[in-house]
Amino acid sequence: MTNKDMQDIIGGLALTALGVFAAVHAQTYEFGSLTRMGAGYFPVALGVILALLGLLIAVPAFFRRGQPIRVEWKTFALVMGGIVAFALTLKVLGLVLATALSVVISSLADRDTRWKGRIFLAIGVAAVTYVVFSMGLSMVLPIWPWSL
Amino acid sequence: MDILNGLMLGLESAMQPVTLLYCFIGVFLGTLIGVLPGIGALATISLLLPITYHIPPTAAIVMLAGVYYGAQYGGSTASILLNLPGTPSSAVACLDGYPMAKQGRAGVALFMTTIASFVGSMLGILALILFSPSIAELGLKFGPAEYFSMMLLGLIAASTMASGSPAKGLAMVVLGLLLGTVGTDVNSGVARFDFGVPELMDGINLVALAMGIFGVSEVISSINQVRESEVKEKITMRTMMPTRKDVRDSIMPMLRGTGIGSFFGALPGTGASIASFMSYAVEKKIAKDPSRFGKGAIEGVTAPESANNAAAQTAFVPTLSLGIPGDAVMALMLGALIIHGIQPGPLLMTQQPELFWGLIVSFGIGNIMLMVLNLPLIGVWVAILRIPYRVLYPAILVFISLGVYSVNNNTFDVLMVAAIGAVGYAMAVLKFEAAPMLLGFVLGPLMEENLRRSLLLARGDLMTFIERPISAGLLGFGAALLLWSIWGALKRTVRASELKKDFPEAA
Repeated sequence: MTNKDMQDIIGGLALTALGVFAAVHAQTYEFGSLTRMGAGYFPVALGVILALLGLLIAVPAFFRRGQPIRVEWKTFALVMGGIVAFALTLKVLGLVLATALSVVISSLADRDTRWKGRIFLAIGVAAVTYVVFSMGLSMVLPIWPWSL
Repeated sequence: MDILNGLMLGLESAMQPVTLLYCFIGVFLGTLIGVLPGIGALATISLLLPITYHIPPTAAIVMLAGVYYGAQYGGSTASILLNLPGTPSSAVACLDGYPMAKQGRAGVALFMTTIASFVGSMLGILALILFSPSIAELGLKFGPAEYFSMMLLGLIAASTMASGSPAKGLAMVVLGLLLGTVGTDVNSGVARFDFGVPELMDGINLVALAMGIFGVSEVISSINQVRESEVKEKITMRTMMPTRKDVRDSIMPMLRGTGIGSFFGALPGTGASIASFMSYAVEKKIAKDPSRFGKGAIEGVTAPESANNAAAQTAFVPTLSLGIPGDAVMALMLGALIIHGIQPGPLLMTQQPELFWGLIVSFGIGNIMLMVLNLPLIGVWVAILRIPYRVLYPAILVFISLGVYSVNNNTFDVLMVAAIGAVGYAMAVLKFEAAPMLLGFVLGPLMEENLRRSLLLARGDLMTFIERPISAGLLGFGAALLLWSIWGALKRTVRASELKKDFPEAA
């Protein structure tokens, strides 16, 4: 399918789907009239406009050559993993360990980092984070697993 | 209050030690992230937003503003040395700055861009001072219809000036508007699109949205990118001195760039990036020898730098005097102001003059600090550019996560950043621009409010937007912009298909 502009097709159709979903879902809110716009008026109108724009983007893309889509799946997954790991472990493991874990996971995405560097980086970032956020900005954070 | 009194008041307010300290932090941080590719003013300001809760409002805004215009100073450093823009608006500086570096004139380029940035900023501040009072007065005549039309104009400008087709830009704006409807509707109390999730009843967290869309997706895209040549040249004070010809050649471009930048900065919906591109285009068009551009013409570097700095300053004109943000960063700034209980708009000047004028004076102080900082520290920035990205980005991700967490002490928000980051990456991969979306998101609730009110006042008559003169003028301008960009897009498509007809093998 390299003779089509896949970027715009996927994007356009996704937007159309989103617009339709929004317009349909917002029907459950009171619509009102032009004079007294209800909660549903704006979202429905926007949803319809978005759906139309999505088609406007996707349809010409069928007749147009586009660039290949490049997705860095591994990088994406590891960055997501780093953030999610932090979110899930902050309250369980405390700031220092959660930071270290997050750094280790996300640094796996880079091709050139070695394990020694990774450990140092984890320690360094945890230290900086502690100093900046906990000490510098006096944020209330559990630091270690036992300090909850 | 007249300008001189205002400036005196502002000076008093800006010279407070706390304000000065945060001004310094802001401009320093701004230059730093401006120098570093991969982190921009947008991500940094959204990161700093939660931190601003702990400091006094004036100092907070001064700091955020410092980050904003400070980034315009540092952005060209990476463009010149590495052919990699530090900020979107310095992409243009790569075109002639990098060739200058290859010719051994990197020091001169760096020096001249700092001067150009300073000139652009100071003159931009002058424009800000001169025009804000009159714009604010005009703003007092604004009713909800005018506000709506102005915001619509801003959104149209933002979507059409974005790269890519106007349809994509518009779609992004509409998506942003739609996302802005998530949450409890103020008028009716109905919770929209919350899907039973209590955290969504207040709407999508602005900080999470901004950091996810810009910060996280930028990180994903930047990892494992091969950096071009390492910085080789040794930059000393002597290598930075420009020749007299350089200075003479740059004066008019700097002034022209400032003019262009001031205009685009003040126009809602356009900002520093567009200003710098336009400035480059203008310089190339009116140059006696356009073929010099792209090979190290100094006007190609100084004019856009003046433009983007001027734009960064005048962007505050609509934001402060009308409450309408000029671009995504201003939208964040507006969000920050509202969070601190400051209502930007025509009344700001009269109700909180010490804030308004204090901010403006701090711009001047900040720019002076930046001049003093940047010239001797150019060597330091160059050294920082040598830090590999793989060391920086895990820290950036942790900072993003912690920053979002600190808003509500809620790990759900951090998960939301991850989800939004995924969407943001998808958008980047599919080449859909995110900045118009953020603008739509911030303006959405305001637009809906104004639309409702103006229709209520006009008893449902849509013609009110055209009957009222100011509103009609704004809408007319917006329609013209829209038609012009559609025309441009059609021309491009026609030219592309004609090219295919002539060279079928190339297709």
